[in-house]
Amino acid sequence: MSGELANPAGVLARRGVEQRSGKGTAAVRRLATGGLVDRTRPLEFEFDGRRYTGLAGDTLASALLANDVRLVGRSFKYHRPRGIFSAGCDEPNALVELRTGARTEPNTRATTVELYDRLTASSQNRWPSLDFDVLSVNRFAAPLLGAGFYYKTFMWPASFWEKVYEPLIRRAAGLGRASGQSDPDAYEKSHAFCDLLVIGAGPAGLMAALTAARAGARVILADEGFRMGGSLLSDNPVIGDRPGSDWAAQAIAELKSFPDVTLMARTTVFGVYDGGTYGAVERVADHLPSPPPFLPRQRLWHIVAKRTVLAAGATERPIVFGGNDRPGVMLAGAVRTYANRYAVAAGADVAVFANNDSAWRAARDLVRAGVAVRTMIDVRDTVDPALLAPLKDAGVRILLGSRVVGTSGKRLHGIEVLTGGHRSSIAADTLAVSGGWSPNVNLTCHLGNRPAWNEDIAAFVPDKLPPGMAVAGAANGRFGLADCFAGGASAAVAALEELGIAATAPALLRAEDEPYRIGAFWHVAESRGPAFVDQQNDVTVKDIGIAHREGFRAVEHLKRYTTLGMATDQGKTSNMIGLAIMAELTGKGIPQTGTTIFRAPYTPVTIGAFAGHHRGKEFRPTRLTPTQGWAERQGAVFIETGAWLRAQYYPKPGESDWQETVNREVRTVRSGVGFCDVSTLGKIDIQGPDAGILLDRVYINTWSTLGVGKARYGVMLREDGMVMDDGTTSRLGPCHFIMTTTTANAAKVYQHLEFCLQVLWPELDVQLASVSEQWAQLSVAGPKARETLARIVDPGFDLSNEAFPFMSAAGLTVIGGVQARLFRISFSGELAYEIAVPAGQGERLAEALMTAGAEFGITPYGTEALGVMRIEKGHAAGSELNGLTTAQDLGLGRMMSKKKDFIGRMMSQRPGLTDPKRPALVGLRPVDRSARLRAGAHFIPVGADAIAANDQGHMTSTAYSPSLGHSIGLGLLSCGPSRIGERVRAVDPVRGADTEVEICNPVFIDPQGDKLRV
Amino acid sequence: MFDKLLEPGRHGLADGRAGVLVRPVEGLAIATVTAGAKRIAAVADTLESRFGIKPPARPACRERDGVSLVGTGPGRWLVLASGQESAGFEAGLCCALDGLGAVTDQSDALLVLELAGPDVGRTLAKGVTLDLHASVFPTGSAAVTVVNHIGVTLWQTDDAPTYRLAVPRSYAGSFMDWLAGSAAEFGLETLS
Repeated sequence: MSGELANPAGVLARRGVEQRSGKGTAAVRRLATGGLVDRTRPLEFEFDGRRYTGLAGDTLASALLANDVRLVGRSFKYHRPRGIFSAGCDEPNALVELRTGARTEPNTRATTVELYDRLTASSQNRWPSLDFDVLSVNRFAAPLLGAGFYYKTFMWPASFWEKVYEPLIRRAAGLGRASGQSDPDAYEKSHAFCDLLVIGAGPAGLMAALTAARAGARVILADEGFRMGGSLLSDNPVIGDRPGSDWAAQAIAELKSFPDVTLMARTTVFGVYDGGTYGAVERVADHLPSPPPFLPRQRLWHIVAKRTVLAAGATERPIVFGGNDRPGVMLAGAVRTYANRYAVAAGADVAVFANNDSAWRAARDLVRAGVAVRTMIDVRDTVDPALLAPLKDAGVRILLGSRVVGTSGKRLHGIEVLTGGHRSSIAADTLAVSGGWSPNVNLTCHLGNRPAWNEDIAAFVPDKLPPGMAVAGAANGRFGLADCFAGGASAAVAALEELGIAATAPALLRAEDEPYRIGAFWHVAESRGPAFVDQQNDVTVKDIGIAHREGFRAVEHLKRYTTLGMATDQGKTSNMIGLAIMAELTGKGIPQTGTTIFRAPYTPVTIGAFAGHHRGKEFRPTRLTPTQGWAERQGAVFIETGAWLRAQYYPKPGESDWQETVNREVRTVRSGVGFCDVSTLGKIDIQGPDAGILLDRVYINTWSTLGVGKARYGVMLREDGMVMDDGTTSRLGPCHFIMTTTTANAAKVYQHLEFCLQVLWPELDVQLASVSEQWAQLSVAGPKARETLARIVDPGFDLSNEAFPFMSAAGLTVIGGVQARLFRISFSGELAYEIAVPAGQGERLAEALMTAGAEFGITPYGTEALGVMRIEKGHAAGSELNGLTTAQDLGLGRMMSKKKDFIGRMMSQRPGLTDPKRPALVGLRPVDRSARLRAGAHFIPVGADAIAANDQGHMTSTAYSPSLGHSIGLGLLSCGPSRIGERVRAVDPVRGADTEVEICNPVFIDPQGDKLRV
Repeated sequence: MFDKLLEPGRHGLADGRAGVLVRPVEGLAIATVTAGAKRIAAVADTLESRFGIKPPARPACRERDGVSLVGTGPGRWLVLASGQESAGFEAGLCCALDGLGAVTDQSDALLVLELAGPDVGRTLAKGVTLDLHASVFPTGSAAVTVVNHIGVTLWQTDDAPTYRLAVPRSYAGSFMDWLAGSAAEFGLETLS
């Protein structure tokens, strides 16, 4: 008799609104002694606008119960009043909105929320108030809302679904609401490695961790709770001659003394993945009003464990009977936990209804703690006399062979019991129910295993396990305390032995090891009123009957048809009963009926934890070019191109929009000189005696004959004959080439070359190195390019057209001794060079070019002008190199060598790829020159209907050409090259455009290429 | 370059001793040396006679007289030499190898950072997916890996432990953002 009620007199009579309202209400149901709460640290909190006081060590649920708050939510479909049902992560009913504003967290289980000072929570799914909810009339529509109602009731007419039915259902059903605001807190990810991961810090887990720690192993012990100890805290056993919680504290202190042991409280291991990898979420700051500076709210852990001991315990399941969802009906183990761990009397007049021994021990603990237990009901006709004695002594009325058939009261005030054919009413404000315990087998099944049925404990137990995993304690169906200790120790010893680490089991502890007997019993057939199997999704016994009658009998069908087990609790307290009822209906046994698949996550994980740092601009890393800082100082406008941030255009004062700036940049290049940072192109250093042979095999054209100091344009195909990438490659020495790739395909091409060398032709003596990061490469283009360059090239280098003609390449020094590479190649169609210097010199080179070209009005230009000029020159780029085009389609068919083999050659000869009707590259200009072309428009013959059957291709790229004074486009058109001069329509149904266009040569400017060669 | 990425001084938690110290390692000439499959031994011998270091044949780093050889793949090393001019270093190495292997200058391609401090391990664990425990990744270990979706080469230089990370230049800003965020709870001290 260690505890009694804090205000022992007349608790029942005084329980009421007046006690729950107002500031600083006394905690009317807090027991005077006992519990693992800190009575010196009261914490104020608010629920539905009322203020209450709890204690440090409370959960929100225990603090609400301590304040006699019993109604905490409304159910999902029928808006029935619901209370606190459990004391852990299995809670189906007590879901609240935690916090306010942007930090609002809907559907938070009050039973797992650690109480903190000034916590604010509110109930969900009620209007206008929790006590009086208008939509509770839904329960009168229950026949309409039964199993499969979505599928049946709202079938017709189809047009009503989106406009009428769905909004109606969404308003009526559902739980919490998201804040709709950006989450103000941070999340992150981390990685951990260990010899032994122990999941669950109850008796089995603590013993496994201790065994491994003492053997010197690297151990991670993770537990979802904020205080480690598991059932040692809630069941209050005696170990040796001390309380179990003391032993747990001592074990934890010892574990903390090992440098290679990591204790992770508030951490749920939610998933098992291949290769001994486990996903876990650590609630770093959920127990605080807001995360302290520089700390994330939650941290997602990726744990790689050589071996794992799963000691996740067991979950109690109820017995289902009429009115079993009334606030005040709770799991017996939860009522025990509230008394033992939180020193809270769940009620003032408790009845217990069970089919197994553990509930009797719960009742015994309640009596010991000073909670008034008046009635003990067991479906079994006989029980162990050892269980009877302590209850009889306390004057508890014992009803064997009996069952609860109904309940009454908005908050429970009475139960109806069937004993020997007689129904009688018994007063009770709390009914503690136990239908037995189901081992938490979830994690053993994540890699596809199924649990096995164990008749002795009427539960599924782990069967085949993920590699490296062992199971101990209640999770393994061994409920006795001594069994838990022994199982944890031996699992750890065996696991470490496999790793070559010698470990010995600690001396056995003297612990109460009470037998667990159960008479399997799932639901009360004689029930009065709806009997809820899944309280969170409002699935009743009757719904399972409907599913059975309508043929949805397999457990997976049952689940989907009735939504049983599909709520946020994933049916932790309901799946077992649901499948047992179905097994009764079909006459098949439970093992033949089987369970639904257990999938990760074990409990819900905030999506933010998976995102970690990768939010907003940090969604992925940003790559900056070597001239980024310089371009910023020039006032450039930037654009994201893949991972890169590139200068899009360089506006000058007085320019009204981007088009004006881009037009000026293009005109300046075409008439004078400009430069552009092209460092983002992939650059691959290729060395070795067989480098030319490699290039011959990966490019469609010939390379081994390329002279030293020369550059060449190349196209490479995929194995399937489609174009993979293009670019210029230069020969710097007999055994040395430098390849350029498009920006988008830089990594892919490098990977492709590595594959060729490592897998296809390991005999080739070629060495690769990516030098994309090493060089700042600027394209200098325009009639004045040579004169500009002449001013930065160090003396001794001859830039003349004779000495350094089109498609030349050379190493040299510039701006006074800076190592550089010069390539005379052109993307713009002008006299142009690409000059490369070490990346650290990029800004210096840009500055030198600005000075050198000042006399010619030099301008830097961005990706927009680059794009305009390449469209004017008909060069294929990303929109044309789209993975669906062949070299032939792009007008590059003649480059394909017939004298050698190359990757993609064979497949490029497939009839489908050589079909002359394939869309091929052409230029397009609007017949009405003032019209604007749009990429994405489809080509339709003039006079034909704009339907898919008449589609002849599409516009891939468009630009306004300042050189021509009108819009131009490139497109892929069926039989395109042979239709030059014809007209088609460019139809853009998305943006409502239908423009007649003229088919022309894709090279709009200088088709002979004279300007390149001057 | 580095001072533009992160201001020198204290970042994140301001109280107490900084949990993580970061320092840019400047003045390095860096090159990759790659040997053809049949000439790995010959290249290794040449490197050994030039630097007095046996090039590691596994992911490891060996250092002597300011030169470090980091094994980054079969027949492939990252060579870092402090106080040397990059073009000259590359040319000298090319000359010594005389066609046995490829030498590629990477001096401007990589930002090398030195990370130390009592919480460096807990910080790196937020990005490095490898086990850096002393029993698995002792001093002299190296890895080519990924941090925050950024490819990095990582090696441990002493038992403190102190790590060096070679980060691609274009990604340096994003890497520092990740580092500053990940080390913030411990306090990050940027040294120059």
